[in-house]
Amino acid sequence: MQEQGGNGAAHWASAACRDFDAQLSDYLEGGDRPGVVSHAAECAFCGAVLSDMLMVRSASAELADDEPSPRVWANVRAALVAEGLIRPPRERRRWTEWLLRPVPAAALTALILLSAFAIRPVLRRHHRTAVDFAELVVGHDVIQNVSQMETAFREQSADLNPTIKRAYEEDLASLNGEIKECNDTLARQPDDSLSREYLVSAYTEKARVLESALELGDGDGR
Amino acid sequence: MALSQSRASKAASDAELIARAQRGDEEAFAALFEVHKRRVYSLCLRMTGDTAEAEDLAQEAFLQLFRKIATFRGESAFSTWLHRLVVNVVLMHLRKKGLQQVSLDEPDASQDEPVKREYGDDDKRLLHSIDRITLSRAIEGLPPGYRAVLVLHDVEGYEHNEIAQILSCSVGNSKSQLHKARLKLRELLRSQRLPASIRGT
Repeated sequence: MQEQGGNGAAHWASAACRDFDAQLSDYLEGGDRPGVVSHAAECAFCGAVLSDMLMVRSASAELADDEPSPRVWANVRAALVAEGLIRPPRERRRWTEWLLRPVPAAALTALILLSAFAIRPVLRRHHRTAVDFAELVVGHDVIQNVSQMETAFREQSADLNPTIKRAYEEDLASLNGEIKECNDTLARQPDDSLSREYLVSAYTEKARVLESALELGDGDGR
Repeated sequence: MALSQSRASKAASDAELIARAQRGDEEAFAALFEVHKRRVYSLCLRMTGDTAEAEDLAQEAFLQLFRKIATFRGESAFSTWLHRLVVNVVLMHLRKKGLQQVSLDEPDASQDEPVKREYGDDDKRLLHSIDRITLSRAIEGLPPGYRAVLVLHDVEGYEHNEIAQILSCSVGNSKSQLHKARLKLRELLRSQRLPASIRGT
Protein backbone atom coordinates (compact mmCIF):
# COMPACT_ATOMS: atom_id res chain seq x y z
CA MET A 1 0.00 0.00 0.00
CA GLN A 2 1.38 3.36 -1.00
CA GLU A 3 0.60 6.62 0.73
CA GLN A 4 1.54 9.92 -0.80
CA GLY A 5 3.36 12.39 1.40
CA GLY A 6 2.73 16.13 1.54
CA ASN A 7 6.07 16.74 -0.15
CA GLY A 8 5.26 14.33 -2.91
CA ALA A 9 7.39 11.63 -1.36
CA ALA A 10 5.79 8.24 -1.25
CA HIS A 11 5.56 6.20 1.88
CA TRP A 12 5.23 2.48 1.51
CA ALA A 13 3.09 1.13 4.33
CA SER A 14 4.53 -2.24 5.24
CA ALA A 15 2.66 -5.00 7.05
CA ALA A 16 4.34 -3.75 10.23
CA CYS A 17 2.97 -0.25 9.55
CA ARG A 18 -0.52 -1.67 9.17
CA ASP A 19 -0.12 -3.59 12.45
CA PHE A 20 1.05 -0.35 14.02
CA ASP A 21 -2.08 1.41 12.77
CA ALA A 22 -4.30 -1.34 14.08
CA GLN A 23 -2.73 -1.31 17.56
CA LEU A 24 -2.08 2.39 18.01
CA SER A 25 -5.48 3.19 19.48
CA ASP A 26 -5.19 0.44 22.12
CA TYR A 27 -1.66 1.55 22.96
CA LEU A 28 -2.77 5.14 23.49
CA GLU A 29 -5.55 3.87 25.75
CA GLY A 30 -2.95 2.23 27.97
CA GLY A 31 -2.97 -1.22 26.40
CA ASP A 32 0.16 -3.36 26.40
CA ARG A 33 1.24 -3.20 22.77
CA PRO A 34 5.05 -3.52 22.64
CA GLY A 35 4.93 -3.80 18.87
CA VAL A 36 3.79 -0.19 18.60
CA VAL A 37 6.86 1.22 20.34
CA SER A 38 9.32 -1.07 18.64
CA HIS A 39 7.93 -0.33 15.20
CA ALA A 40 7.84 3.40 15.90
CA ALA A 41 11.55 3.23 16.71
CA GLU A 42 12.30 1.64 13.35
CA CYS A 43 9.88 3.47 11.06
CA ALA A 44 10.26 7.25 10.78
CA PHE A 45 6.74 7.72 9.47
CA CYS A 46 5.03 5.74 12.23
CA GLY A 47 7.44 7.21 14.79
CA ALA A 48 6.21 10.68 13.81
CA VAL A 49 2.60 9.58 14.08
CA LEU A 50 3.13 8.12 17.56
CA SER A 51 5.05 11.17 18.76
CA ASP A 52 2.35 13.51 17.49
CA MET A 53 -0.46 11.47 18.97
CA LEU A 54 1.18 11.42 22.38
CA MET A 55 1.71 15.16 22.22
CA VAL A 56 -1.87 15.84 21.10
CA ARG A 57 -3.16 13.74 23.98
CA SER A 58 -1.02 15.41 26.63
CA ALA A 59 -1.60 18.92 25.28
CA SER A 60 -5.37 18.33 25.33
CA ALA A 61 -5.22 17.20 28.95
CA GLU A 62 -3.35 20.37 29.90
CA LEU A 63 -5.56 22.77 28.00
CA ALA A 64 -6.21 25.80 30.20
CA ASP A 65 -9.72 26.99 30.93
CA ASP A 66 -11.20 30.12 29.41
CA GLU A 67 -12.96 32.97 31.18
CA PRO A 68 -16.61 33.72 30.40
CA SER A 69 -17.66 37.35 30.05
CA PRO A 70 -19.12 39.11 33.13
CA ARG A 71 -22.46 39.14 31.37
CA VAL A 72 -22.95 35.46 32.18
CA TRP A 73 -23.02 36.09 35.93
CA ALA A 74 -25.08 39.26 35.47
CA ASN A 75 -27.71 37.26 33.58
CA VAL A 76 -27.63 34.32 35.99
CA ARG A 77 -27.96 36.65 38.94
CA ALA A 78 -30.81 38.60 37.38
CA ALA A 79 -32.70 35.34 36.76
CA LEU A 80 -32.06 34.12 40.31
CA VAL A 81 -33.39 37.38 41.71
CA ALA A 82 -36.42 37.25 39.43
CA GLU A 83 -37.17 33.67 40.48
CA GLY A 84 -36.73 34.48 44.16
CA LEU A 85 -33.84 32.04 44.66
CA ILE A 86 -31.66 34.84 45.93
CA ARG A 87 -33.12 36.36 49.03
CA PRO A 88 -31.32 39.57 49.96
CA PRO A 89 -31.83 40.52 53.59
CA ARG A 90 -34.53 43.19 53.71
CA GLU A 91 -32.74 45.29 56.30
CA ARG A 92 -29.87 45.92 53.93
CA ARG A 93 -32.12 47.60 51.40
CA ARG A 94 -31.32 51.28 51.61
CA TRP A 95 -29.22 53.35 49.27
CA THR A 96 -30.80 52.47 45.95
CA GLU A 97 -34.37 52.44 47.16
CA TRP A 98 -34.95 56.03 46.14
CA LEU A 99 -33.62 55.28 42.70
CA LEU A 100 -35.14 51.92 41.95
CA ARG A 101 -38.61 52.54 43.26
CA PRO A 102 -39.61 55.35 40.91
CA VAL A 103 -38.21 53.63 37.82
CA PRO A 104 -37.76 49.89 38.28
CA ALA A 105 -35.40 48.40 35.73
CA ALA A 106 -38.12 46.29 34.15
CA ALA A 107 -40.18 49.40 33.56
CA LEU A 108 -37.08 51.16 32.33
CA THR A 109 -36.48 48.38 29.83
CA ALA A 110 -40.03 48.67 28.58
CA LEU A 111 -39.62 52.42 28.35
CA ILE A 112 -36.46 52.06 26.31
CA LEU A 113 -38.16 49.76 23.84
CA LEU A 114 -41.23 51.96 23.63
CA SER A 115 -39.13 55.07 23.14
CA ALA A 116 -37.13 53.44 20.40
CA PHE A 117 -40.31 52.43 18.61
CA ALA A 118 -41.96 55.80 18.94
CA ILE A 119 -38.99 57.95 18.06
CA ARG A 120 -37.64 55.92 15.18
CA PRO A 121 -39.50 57.94 12.46
CA VAL A 122 -38.03 61.17 13.81
CA LEU A 123 -34.51 60.39 12.73
CA ARG A 124 -33.48 62.50 9.79
CA ARG A 125 -30.34 62.94 7.75
CA HIS A 126 -28.77 65.96 9.35
CA HIS A 127 -25.87 66.60 11.63
CA ARG A 128 -26.36 65.79 15.30
CA THR A 129 -24.08 65.04 18.19
CA ALA A 130 -23.66 61.54 19.52
CA VAL A 131 -25.75 62.31 22.61
CA ASP A 132 -28.52 63.69 20.42
CA PHE A 133 -28.72 60.44 18.50
CA ALA A 134 -28.90 58.39 21.67
CA GLU A 135 -31.64 60.71 22.93
CA LEU A 136 -33.55 60.38 19.70
CA VAL A 137 -33.32 56.62 19.69
CA VAL A 138 -33.86 55.73 23.33
CA GLY A 139 -35.30 58.95 24.79
CA HIS A 140 -33.97 61.71 27.04
CA ASP A 141 -35.64 60.45 30.23
CA VAL A 142 -34.31 56.97 29.77
CA ILE A 143 -30.78 58.21 29.28
CA GLN A 144 -31.05 60.32 32.39
CA ASN A 145 -32.36 57.44 34.46
CA VAL A 146 -29.67 55.07 33.25
CA SER A 147 -27.10 57.77 33.92
CA GLN A 148 -28.43 58.21 37.47
CA MET A 149 -28.24 54.48 38.05
CA GLU A 150 -24.67 54.44 36.79
CA THR A 151 -23.72 57.35 39.04
CA ALA A 152 -25.25 55.59 42.02
CA PHE A 153 -23.37 52.44 41.15
CA ARG A 154 -20.05 54.33 40.87
CA GLU A 155 -20.62 56.00 44.22
CA GLN A 156 -21.41 52.79 46.06
CA SER A 157 -19.34 50.22 44.21
CA ALA A 158 -16.46 50.55 46.67
CA ASP A 159 -18.56 48.52 49.12
CA LEU A 160 -18.89 45.59 46.74
CA ASN A 161 -16.82 42.45 46.77
CA PRO A 162 -13.79 43.33 44.55
CA THR A 163 -14.32 40.38 42.20
CA ILE A 164 -17.97 41.16 41.69
CA LYS A 165 -17.24 44.86 41.38
CA ARG A 166 -14.65 44.18 38.68
CA ALA A 167 -17.10 41.95 36.80
CA TYR A 168 -19.74 44.67 36.76
CA GLU A 169 -17.24 47.34 35.76
CA GLU A 170 -16.00 45.25 32.86
CA ASP A 171 -19.55 44.60 31.74
CA LEU A 172 -20.42 48.30 31.90
CA ALA A 173 -17.23 49.26 30.07
CA SER A 174 -18.13 46.82 27.32
CA LEU A 175 -21.68 48.18 27.07
CA ASN A 176 -20.48 51.79 27.09
CA GLY A 177 -18.13 50.85 24.27
CA GLU A 178 -21.05 49.40 22.31
CA ILE A 179 -23.10 52.54 22.92
CA LYS A 180 -20.27 54.75 21.73
CA GLU A 181 -19.77 52.63 18.65
CA CYS A 182 -23.47 52.85 17.79
CA ASN A 183 -23.48 56.60 18.34
CA ASP A 184 -20.43 57.02 16.11
CA THR A 185 -22.06 54.97 13.38
CA LEU A 186 -25.33 56.91 13.65
CA ALA A 187 -23.42 60.18 13.40
CA ARG A 188 -22.19 59.01 10.01
CA GLN A 189 -25.26 57.06 8.93
CA PRO A 190 -28.35 58.33 10.79
CA ASP A 191 -30.64 55.82 9.08
CA ASP A 192 -28.61 52.76 9.95
CA SER A 193 -31.31 50.55 11.43
CA LEU A 194 -28.91 47.96 12.78
CA SER A 195 -27.05 50.58 14.82
CA ARG A 196 -30.34 51.85 16.23
CA GLU A 197 -31.31 48.34 17.25
CA TYR A 198 -27.90 47.73 18.82
CA LEU A 199 -28.12 51.06 20.64
CA VAL A 200 -31.50 50.16 22.14
CA SER A 201 -30.23 46.72 23.00
CA ALA A 202 -27.10 48.16 24.67
CA TYR A 203 -29.13 50.59 26.81
CA THR A 204 -31.57 47.82 27.73
CA GLU A 205 -28.72 45.56 28.78
CA LYS A 206 -27.03 48.41 30.63
CA ALA A 207 -30.21 49.09 32.61
CA ARG A 208 -30.42 45.40 33.47
CA VAL A 209 -26.78 45.17 34.54
CA LEU A 210 -27.11 48.30 36.66
CA GLU A 211 -30.27 46.99 38.24
CA SER A 212 -28.43 43.81 39.11
CA ALA A 213 -25.47 45.75 40.55
CA LEU A 214 -27.67 48.06 42.58
CA GLU A 215 -29.68 45.21 44.03
CA LEU A 216 -26.45 43.45 44.89
CA GLY A 217 -25.42 46.61 46.73
CA ASP A 218 -28.65 46.24 48.69
CA GLY A 219 -27.88 42.66 49.53
CA ASP A 220 -24.82 40.79 50.64
CA GLY A 221 -22.40 41.34 47.79
CA ARG A 222 -19.54 42.57 49.85
CA MET B 1 -1.22 13.89 50.29
CA ALA B 2 -1.22 17.60 49.48
CA LEU B 3 -3.57 16.91 46.61
CA SER B 4 -6.03 14.97 48.74
CA GLN B 5 -5.90 17.68 51.41
CA SER B 6 -6.58 20.26 48.74
CA ARG B 7 -9.53 18.23 47.43
CA ALA B 8 -10.90 17.77 50.94
CA SER B 9 -10.55 21.46 51.59
CA LYS B 10 -12.31 22.29 48.34
CA ALA B 11 -15.12 19.83 49.08
CA ALA B 12 -15.57 21.39 52.50
CA SER B 13 -15.61 24.82 50.94
CA ASP B 14 -18.17 23.69 48.33
CA ALA B 15 -20.32 22.09 51.04
CA GLU B 16 -20.40 25.28 53.06
CA LEU B 17 -21.23 27.39 50.03
CA ILE B 18 -23.93 24.95 48.93
CA ALA B 19 -25.53 25.03 52.37
CA ARG B 20 -25.56 28.83 52.28
CA ALA B 21 -26.88 28.90 48.69
CA GLN B 22 -29.68 26.54 49.73
CA ARG B 23 -30.72 29.28 52.16
CA GLY B 24 -30.73 31.87 49.36
CA ASP B 25 -27.43 33.51 50.28
CA GLU B 26 -26.39 35.56 47.27
CA GLU B 27 -22.72 35.67 48.17
CA ALA B 28 -22.68 31.87 48.20
CA PHE B 29 -24.22 31.73 44.71
CA ALA B 30 -21.66 34.25 43.49
CA ALA B 31 -18.79 32.32 45.06
CA LEU B 32 -19.94 29.00 43.58
CA PHE B 33 -20.19 30.68 40.20
CA GLU B 34 -16.74 32.18 40.62
CA VAL B 35 -15.15 28.87 41.58
CA HIS B 36 -16.66 26.84 38.74
CA LYS B 37 -17.28 29.34 35.93
CA ARG B 38 -14.08 28.74 33.99
CA ARG B 39 -14.45 25.00 33.86
CA VAL B 40 -18.13 25.18 32.96
CA TYR B 41 -17.63 27.79 30.26
CA SER B 42 -14.59 26.05 28.81
CA LEU B 43 -16.46 22.77 28.54
CA CYS B 44 -19.33 24.53 26.76
CA LEU B 45 -16.91 26.35 24.49
CA ARG B 46 -15.01 23.25 23.50
CA MET B 47 -18.12 21.21 22.92
CA THR B 48 -19.75 23.88 20.74
CA GLY B 49 -16.77 25.75 19.29
CA ASP B 50 -18.70 29.02 19.54
CA THR B 51 -18.22 31.68 22.23
CA ALA B 52 -21.75 33.10 22.10
CA GLU B 53 -23.35 29.65 22.29
CA ALA B 54 -20.93 28.68 25.05
CA GLU B 55 -21.90 31.69 27.16
CA ASP B 56 -25.60 30.98 26.69
CA LEU B 57 -25.08 27.36 27.65
CA ALA B 58 -22.91 28.19 30.65
CA GLN B 59 -25.64 30.56 31.79
CA GLU B 60 -28.29 27.89 31.30
CA ALA B 61 -26.20 25.30 33.13
CA PHE B 62 -25.65 27.55 36.14
CA LEU B 63 -29.32 28.44 36.24
CA GLN B 64 -30.32 24.78 36.21
CA LEU B 65 -27.72 24.10 38.86
CA PHE B 66 -28.90 26.85 41.16
CA ARG B 67 -32.54 25.91 40.67
CA LYS B 68 -31.74 22.35 41.70
CA ILE B 69 -29.27 23.18 44.43
CA ALA B 70 -31.84 22.65 47.15
CA THR B 71 -32.02 19.00 46.09
CA PHE B 72 -28.27 18.42 46.29
CA ARG B 73 -27.60 16.02 49.15
CA GLY B 74 -23.89 15.44 48.67
CA GLU B 75 -24.05 11.82 47.50
CA SER B 76 -21.57 12.70 44.77
CA ALA B 77 -18.94 15.41 44.54
CA PHE B 78 -20.47 18.73 43.70
CA SER B 79 -18.08 19.29 40.79
CA THR B 80 -19.02 15.88 39.34
CA TRP B 81 -22.70 16.71 39.66
CA LEU B 82 -22.17 20.09 38.05
CA HIS B 83 -20.03 18.66 35.29
CA ARG B 84 -22.59 16.05 34.36
CA LEU B 85 -25.28 18.69 34.33
CA VAL B 86 -23.24 20.89 31.99
CA VAL B 87 -22.61 18.01 29.62
CA ASN B 88 -26.33 17.27 29.55
CA VAL B 89 -27.18 20.90 28.84
CA VAL B 90 -24.69 21.04 25.98
CA LEU B 91 -25.77 17.73 24.49
CA MET B 92 -29.42 18.71 24.69
CA HIS B 93 -28.57 21.90 22.84
CA LEU B 94 -26.58 20.05 20.19
CA ARG B 95 -29.38 17.55 19.70
CA LYS B 96 -31.81 20.39 19.19
CA LYS B 97 -29.50 21.74 16.53
CA GLY B 98 -29.57 18.35 14.87
CA LEU B 99 -25.86 17.79 15.03
CA GLN B 100 -24.26 14.40 14.94
CA GLN B 101 -23.58 13.92 18.61
CA VAL B 102 -26.91 12.28 19.19
CA SER B 103 -25.67 8.80 18.58
CA LEU B 104 -22.16 7.84 17.71
CA ASP B 105 -23.45 4.42 16.78
CA GLU B 106 -24.90 6.07 13.71
CA PRO B 107 -21.83 7.96 12.57
CA ASP B 108 -22.05 10.64 9.96
CA ALA B 109 -20.48 9.43 6.74
CA SER B 110 -18.56 12.67 6.47
CA GLN B 111 -16.73 11.76 9.66
CA ASP B 112 -15.46 8.52 8.23
CA GLU B 113 -13.19 10.01 5.65
CA PRO B 114 -9.82 8.30 5.69
CA VAL B 115 -7.31 9.99 7.93
CA LYS B 116 -4.33 11.22 6.02
CA ARG B 117 -0.89 10.21 7.13
CA GLU B 118 1.24 12.75 5.33
CA TYR B 119 4.79 13.87 5.66
CA GLY B 120 5.51 17.55 6.04
CA ASP B 121 8.18 19.07 3.83
CA ASP B 122 11.01 19.06 6.27
CA ASP B 123 9.52 17.99 9.52
CA LYS B 124 7.70 14.73 9.89
CA ARG B 125 6.48 15.58 13.36
CA LEU B 126 4.44 18.36 14.82
CA LEU B 127 6.32 21.00 16.74
CA HIS B 128 7.45 19.80 20.11
CA SER B 129 4.79 21.84 21.79
CA ILE B 130 1.41 23.15 20.70
CA ASP B 131 0.26 26.54 21.86
CA ARG B 132 -3.09 26.72 23.56
CA ILE B 133 -4.83 28.87 20.96
CA THR B 134 -3.76 26.70 18.07
CA LEU B 135 -4.94 23.58 19.86
CA SER B 136 -8.25 25.17 20.87
CA ARG B 137 -8.84 26.29 17.32
CA ALA B 138 -8.03 22.87 15.93
CA ILE B 139 -10.45 21.24 18.39
CA GLU B 140 -13.12 23.71 17.29
CA GLY B 141 -12.43 22.61 13.73
CA LEU B 142 -13.22 18.96 14.44
CA PRO B 143 -16.53 17.52 13.26
CA PRO B 144 -19.02 17.73 16.16
CA GLY B 145 -19.09 14.00 16.93
CA TYR B 146 -15.31 13.74 17.06
CA ARG B 147 -15.12 16.92 19.09
CA ALA B 148 -17.53 15.69 21.74
CA VAL B 149 -15.65 12.46 22.35
CA LEU B 150 -12.23 14.09 22.31
CA VAL B 151 -13.26 16.87 24.67
CA LEU B 152 -14.93 14.49 27.09
CA HIS B 153 -12.05 12.01 27.11
CA ASP B 154 -8.81 13.86 26.51
CA VAL B 155 -9.69 17.28 27.90
CA GLU B 156 -12.21 16.51 30.63
CA GLY B 157 -10.92 13.09 31.63
CA TYR B 158 -14.05 10.97 31.25
CA GLU B 159 -13.64 7.20 30.85
CA HIS B 160 -15.01 5.46 27.78
CA ASN B 161 -17.77 3.73 29.74
CA GLU B 162 -18.92 7.13 31.01
CA ILE B 163 -18.79 8.64 27.52
CA ALA B 164 -20.73 5.69 26.15
CA GLN B 165 -23.41 6.34 28.74
CA ILE B 166 -23.47 10.09 28.14
CA LEU B 167 -23.51 9.87 24.35
CA SER B 168 -25.65 6.75 24.13
CA CYS B 169 -23.12 4.75 22.18
CA SER B 170 -21.04 1.64 22.75
CA VAL B 171 -17.67 1.70 24.52
CA GLY B 172 -16.04 0.39 21.36
CA ASN B 173 -17.57 3.19 19.35
CA SER B 174 -16.33 5.76 21.83
CA LYS B 175 -12.79 4.37 21.53
CA SER B 176 -12.97 4.24 17.78
CA GLN B 177 -14.29 7.81 17.51
CA LEU B 178 -11.62 9.05 19.89
CA HIS B 179 -8.86 7.54 17.82
CA LYS B 180 -10.24 9.04 14.63
CA ALA B 181 -10.67 12.36 16.41
CA ARG B 182 -7.02 12.39 17.50
CA LEU B 183 -5.83 11.57 14.01
CA LYS B 184 -8.06 14.28 12.57
CA LEU B 185 -6.80 16.73 15.17
CA ARG B 186 -3.25 15.92 14.21
CA GLU B 187 -4.12 16.58 10.60
CA LEU B 188 -5.71 19.92 11.49
CA LEU B 189 -2.74 20.93 13.61
CA ARG B 190 -0.35 20.11 10.79
CA SER B 191 -2.37 22.25 8.41
CA GLN B 192 -2.49 25.10 10.95
CA ARG B 193 1.27 25.10 11.28
CA LEU B 194 1.59 26.76 7.91
CA PRO B 195 0.20 30.31 8.15
CA ALA B 196 1.99 32.33 10.82
CA SER B 197 -0.95 34.73 10.91
CA ILE B 198 -3.15 31.96 12.24
CA ARG B 199 -0.65 30.60 14.71
CA GLY B 200 0.23 34.00 16.00
CA THR B 201 -3.26 35.19 16.82
